[in-house]
Amino acid sequence: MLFHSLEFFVFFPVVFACYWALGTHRRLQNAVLLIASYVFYGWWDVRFLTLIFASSCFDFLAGMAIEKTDSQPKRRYILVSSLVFNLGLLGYFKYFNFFASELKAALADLGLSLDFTTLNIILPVGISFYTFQTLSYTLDVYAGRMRATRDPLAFFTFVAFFPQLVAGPIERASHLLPQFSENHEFSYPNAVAGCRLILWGFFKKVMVADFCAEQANRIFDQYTALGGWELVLGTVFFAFQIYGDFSGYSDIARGLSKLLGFDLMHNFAMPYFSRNVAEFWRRWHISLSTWFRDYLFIPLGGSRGSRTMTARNLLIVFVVSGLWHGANWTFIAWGALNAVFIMPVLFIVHPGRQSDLVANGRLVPSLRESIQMLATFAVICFAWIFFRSESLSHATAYTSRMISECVNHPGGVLVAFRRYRFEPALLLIISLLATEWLSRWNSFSFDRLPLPIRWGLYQLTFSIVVWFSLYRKPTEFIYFQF
Amino acid sequence: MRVFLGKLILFLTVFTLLNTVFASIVDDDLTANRRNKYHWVCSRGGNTYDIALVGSSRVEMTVDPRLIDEALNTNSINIGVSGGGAGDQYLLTHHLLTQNRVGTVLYQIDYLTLASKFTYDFKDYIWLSYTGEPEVREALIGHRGWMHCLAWKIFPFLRLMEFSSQYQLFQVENDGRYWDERKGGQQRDTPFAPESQDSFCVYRPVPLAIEYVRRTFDLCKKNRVRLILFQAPLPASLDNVSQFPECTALIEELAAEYGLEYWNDSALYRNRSELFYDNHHLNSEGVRQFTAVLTARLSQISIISPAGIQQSGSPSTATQSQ
Repeated sequence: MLFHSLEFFVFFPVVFACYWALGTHRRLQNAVLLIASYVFYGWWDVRFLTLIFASSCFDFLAGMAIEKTDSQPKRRYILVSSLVFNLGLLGYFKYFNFFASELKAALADLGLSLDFTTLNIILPVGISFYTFQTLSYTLDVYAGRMRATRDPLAFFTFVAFFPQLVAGPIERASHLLPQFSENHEFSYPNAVAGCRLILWGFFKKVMVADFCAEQANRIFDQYTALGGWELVLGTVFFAFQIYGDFSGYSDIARGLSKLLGFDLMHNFAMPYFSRNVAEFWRRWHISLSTWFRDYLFIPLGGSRGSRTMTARNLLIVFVVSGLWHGANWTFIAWGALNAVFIMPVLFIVHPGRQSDLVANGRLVPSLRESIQMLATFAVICFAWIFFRSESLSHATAYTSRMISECVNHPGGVLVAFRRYRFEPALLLIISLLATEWLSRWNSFSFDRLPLPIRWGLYQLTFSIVVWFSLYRKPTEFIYFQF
Repeated sequence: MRVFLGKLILFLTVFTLLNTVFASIVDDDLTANRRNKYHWVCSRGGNTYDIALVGSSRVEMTVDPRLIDEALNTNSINIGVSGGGAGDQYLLTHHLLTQNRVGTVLYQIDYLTLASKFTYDFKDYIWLSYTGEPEVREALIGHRGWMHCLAWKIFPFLRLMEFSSQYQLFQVENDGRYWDERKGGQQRDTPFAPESQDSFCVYRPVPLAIEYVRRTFDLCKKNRVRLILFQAPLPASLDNVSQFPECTALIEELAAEYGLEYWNDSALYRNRSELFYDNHHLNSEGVRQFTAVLTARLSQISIISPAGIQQSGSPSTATQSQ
């Protein structure tokens, strides 16, 4: 069930009404959420429910078993069992065919022939997200960062919580799980904030992402017949397609959760205003970046060792992150490229944390900041080419054509804009960037706008979203495939 | 909670009102576009036509009424519409017969009429502009169901959202000169979409289409209009991509049941592929030749003039008021 489908427009009001009709009966509310989440997930394929149920059972029992025993070897054994079970499921459903075919190709290169057959496996929607979410629980219990829950209903609902089930944010058990043990009272400011997030998320998805997708798909499909600047535009459109798509989903997820009285973590913090790649990764898919930081980078040694060790750890984290996105060499290359781009920032420029917002308190950035943002955006877009391409050869052919054509025909940029109807998508990108830029500026606050203007903007956005989504065949969110 | 729900309801009410107003403004403009064949036909009124050609694109792009009129000194109109199903053809015929005086209807009936295989088997997005008429309302409910029609009625903007790809929301008026000059017929020599090829299809009669064919027959009878069925030529190549024996048999049954003349010319140019631009339509040379065949046949029979006087080959003097 997609958020921008007719079914969901019926589903959510029913869940909302049932949930709040139960007042503060926490367990009943959790039961409603669990049933709703299983209906939501089972809407894709009922068979997927067995996986999420099995995963929930295993980790619930693993958490209790870890806490119950004082024996460190036993605790480690249980943890490893949980890792093997969860990563085994993920590996089987997501990576079996990839590794089988790669092994077959490698053996063929050595002159060996093995009769591997790939399996007809359907990738369960969102398996990477909920697997990492349940793993964070077992790892946190093992590390003593949180107590194991004894409430199966709360735990099962935490794993399957429908607003963020299929595309995150990947919540930490220590943040979300306790919320299922609290009584929730309806909060008007929370609900209004939730509605705003939902509306903004739908705008990003239905307008920005889908309009950019049309252009990006066309350009990536026909890249051999297009000029260099058109290919540059293709990467820009894809950059905003994936941002609108994924951050739109996260906003809707956070908004829906707020309407139900829950708080989910920020997943995006205006990443395209970053001044270097390291800052970009602190602002992009925050829930996954911090997951890898806490559960992979730091256990590997983080940046405590030599530069070589840090570089190795970074490379491992980014390659695994790429592999998390999908079983394809393009994702691995994308991850490795980001690792390569981030290293100079950490080792040479060494900008410190730089977590403050760019041009904080100012409407216009300085020339230096503008150049930094543009340069960062350019290298991120370059990496997106690998993420978007179907194969490494496709990515390299696209890249080499883009560079050679741009060098040979520098004036083609004007032709690229004239020849195709890029205006709607560009206008939407500008609207997105302008709104985010203004919301970054402290002096600007949406709440300060006069009521009629605020309501006018709500009406306009809502109308645009409904007009463009209600009868259009809903397009899936990109991150559902991960 | 009450404040939140109250504001939410207010927000949705304002949304509904604003969009309803917008829809009503747009709706008025839609029928003003007479470049659209449906709106052009529905705008005809107070005219006298000796011959009306009814059907799908297989009559719109197969018979040139100007050639008939030149030869027979008649006033003809071609109300065939591309992709028009039996329901559409009935409603167009109904408009034409109730708003004009018509002597003879030549109804091009074939596998496309009976099998409803068009992308839109019924052009609800057109007829939603004419819901003031009982026949249109009945046809809409018959094709789409009462719940769908009720939703369209309560929220008039829903239809604009649903068929946004079919409407030009901010268009200029068009006086329909294109169709006036051609009397509703048009010719083509190259396929509309050259890359598209027919995939194999078995055409079977659909009950709703049969019902609307019968209604068209009854409508002509009720209006005392002479009705002749005919089938336009088909190329031999159509056999490679289609089968429709049930449709062919049903047409003959219907013609016999209603005692109607049926000119089956489907095999007339069977081996003359040079007269077709695709598997279903004649090119301009094919149109010229087939219209000559029809004209010759019409000159041999008595055409009932709109005034009800039988004439042989020399029908009434052409009159046209709109």
